[in-house]
Amino acid sequence: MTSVSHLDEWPLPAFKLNSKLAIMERSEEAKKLVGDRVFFLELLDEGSRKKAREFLSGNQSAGPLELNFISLADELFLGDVYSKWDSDSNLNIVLVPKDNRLLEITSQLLSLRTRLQETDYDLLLEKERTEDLLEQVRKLSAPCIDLGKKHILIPLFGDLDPRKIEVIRFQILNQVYETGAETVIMDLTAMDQLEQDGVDYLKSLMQTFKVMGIQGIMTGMKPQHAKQLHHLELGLGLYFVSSLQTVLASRKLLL
Amino acid sequence: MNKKSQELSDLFLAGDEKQALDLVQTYLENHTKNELYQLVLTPAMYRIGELWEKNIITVADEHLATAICDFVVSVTDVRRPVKNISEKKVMVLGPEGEDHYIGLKMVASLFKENGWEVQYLGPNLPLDAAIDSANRWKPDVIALSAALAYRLPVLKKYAQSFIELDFKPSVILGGRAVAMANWSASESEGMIIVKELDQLKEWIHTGKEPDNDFSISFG
Repeated sequence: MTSVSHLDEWPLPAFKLNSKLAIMERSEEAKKLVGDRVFFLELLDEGSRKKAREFLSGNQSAGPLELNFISLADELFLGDVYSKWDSDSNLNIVLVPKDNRLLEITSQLLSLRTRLQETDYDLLLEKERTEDLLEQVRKLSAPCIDLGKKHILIPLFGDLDPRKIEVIRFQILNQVYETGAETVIMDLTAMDQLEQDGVDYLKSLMQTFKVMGIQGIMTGMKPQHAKQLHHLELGLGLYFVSSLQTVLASRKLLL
Repeated sequence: MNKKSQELSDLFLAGDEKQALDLVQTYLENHTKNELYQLVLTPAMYRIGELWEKNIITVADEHLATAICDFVVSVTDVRRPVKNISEKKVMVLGPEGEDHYIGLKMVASLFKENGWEVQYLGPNLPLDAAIDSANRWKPDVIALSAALAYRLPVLKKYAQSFIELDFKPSVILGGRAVAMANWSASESEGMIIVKELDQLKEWIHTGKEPDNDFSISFG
């Protein structure tokens, strides 16, 4: 029998074990990969030993059996084991090391996904921050300036939309009440677009002024505003004046 | 093994993240996240480990299942700062060689939910790096886990090193290996052993150590 040279020429790591799973023979490839320990189970990662013992000791020669091996360089690698008992009660084994690329790709995909999730979360936070800022801008776009002699000036900035009026409404009414103002001048010089909804809200704000016994004056109208605003005049006691300066001069508010 | 866990582990193995997430979110309508982690996800992942031991699935299948489970845990994780901030800090990690991390994520999530600041360092962390991190950040608690029984000696070595740190953090050990091991009182001196998430939750709320019967094996 020249069984040693038999295995030596195998292109894959191959082993011949006895019934106690001790290694009787091994191929050159096997020596190179996992060294020359006596028992087959010693070649395995501890987590794989129980599995190997159960499956190899049983008389089933089904394959492949996936096991974690420890290489000569002390690194873990995964391999498929094919086994068959022969008539002399020896177990013939061929080990097919697995390409780790699949696992590498899995973990790469995983880290990509994690990054996507983080980006998603960052975007959400950024969105919330933007909304806060927008709210802040809305509040600041209608400052109440006390001109003395019971006059308040409110220059409006940006676009006139319902949400803006809603935000500034409370602030304006409070200010007007606290200063005891009798005249509110709303200056639209820095106003860009008027939305129809915004105009409706403005109208209701003016109505509130009227209920509080306050006169509302609109200044700084642009031609495109006039078209949308003309219906506000109806019975609201609103005055339109072309420029802020005219109002201030006529009420002796200019020095 | 309940039906839900079995169904979920099948979805994990099939890589069906949409259905898995559906199932989990439906479950969360009537259950707490703690119940989800302890009664559904943990048994589902244990089953996947057992299927590998029975040579029914491969490591590649396990990785896919883990990725899907990770996704589900991440989606259900608290993302907003909770209101009752406890101002306590916890560091969560797995020792070198230990690649199982789903449990760590669940633990991190549980602490976060209770208002803790969490530093999740992930699995397979060398001891030096862990000590370094701990010294810089000085957490109140260091939580670590191991899934495979033969990792216990390494886990104990880590725990011992943490206990000896100047700022004396509490050290919590968990994971499948910890749950299945027998712990003698002297062995676990200075460490807090939690065998399941419920015990951890209890500890976070009351600071009382779980009253494990050390003579009984849960294996």
